[in-house]
Amino acid sequence: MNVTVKELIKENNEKRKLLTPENETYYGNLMVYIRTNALKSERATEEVLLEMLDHLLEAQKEGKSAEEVFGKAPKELAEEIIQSLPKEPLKKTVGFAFEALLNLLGWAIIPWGIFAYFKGEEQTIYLGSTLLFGIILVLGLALLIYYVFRMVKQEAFDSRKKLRSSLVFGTIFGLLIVLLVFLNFFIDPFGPTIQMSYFTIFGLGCFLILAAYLFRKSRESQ
Amino acid sequence: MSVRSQLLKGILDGCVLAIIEKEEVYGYELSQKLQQYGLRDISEGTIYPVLLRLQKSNWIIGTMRPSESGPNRKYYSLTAEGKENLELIRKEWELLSVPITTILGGNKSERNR
Repeated sequence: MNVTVKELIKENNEKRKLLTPENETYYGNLMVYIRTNALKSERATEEVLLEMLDHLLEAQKEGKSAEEVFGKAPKELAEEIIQSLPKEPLKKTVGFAFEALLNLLGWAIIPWGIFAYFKGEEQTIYLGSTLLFGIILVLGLALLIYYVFRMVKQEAFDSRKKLRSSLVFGTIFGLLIVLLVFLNFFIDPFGPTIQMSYFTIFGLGCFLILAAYLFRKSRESQ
Repeated sequence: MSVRSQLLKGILDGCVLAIIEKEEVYGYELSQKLQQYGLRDISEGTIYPVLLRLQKSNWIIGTMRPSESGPNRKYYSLTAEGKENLELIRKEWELLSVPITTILGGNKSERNR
């Protein structure tokens, strides 16, 4: 019998509601910490999380607390579990990154298409500077996502760091926007040019998002 | 870490394999069995890293299937490789446990002399 990863996550969400508030806090922190691991098999991760949740629910029926079941050092346990998890196959990781890239570019291009529609003229695209912008945007967002993951992981068992982390997040995000605006104003467009109508731009954006969606569907059905 | 859990750490994999050899078990059941045999003070959570490691080495496999009481559970069974390694662990344990018992026990009788 084959259950998809999505179904495992759904089952986890449903079953978590049956935990007592204290057990929910303990298990929730453990879960968030283990899920933020990078490059480990998503399926194996969700399977072990669900197993541990089932375990906790059975122990709860006997009046045991999460701390009695999983011990007083949840962070150490979580680290040990992450280390023991199998790696995600490279193909899947690359597929996921590609899907994210398609989505990002798609959502960046569609507003541009709408903007071009209202201006009502053909857009001249400088391939060189457009490429530069694309690369900066992707790298900047990758850095942000990496930071968010690290932040979530650090905070799983310690809520005191929350304010500082949000400040750092805001600063990085702000700097990224400032950098992009700065480049837009101060760097002359360069590289070979092509002409595109709003319709082409808009269509391209939709196509990228559709492709990302199909990618996602095929990934989830595994 | 207590002396006991340090001593247990190396041999826990063997104990888990031996229990799975007798019959297929799921996580909660396994921890109950370990406790019934008298290993009461190991945290129940520690079996999960062990189960993951054993799966990664392909000594056991887990299969999801509905349990008698209804919900899906992951049941573990030994692979051929796991059986071989369990035998190896048994032999190694015997080779170690006999002399160690003598050494540790011997000190006691010397003290009593």
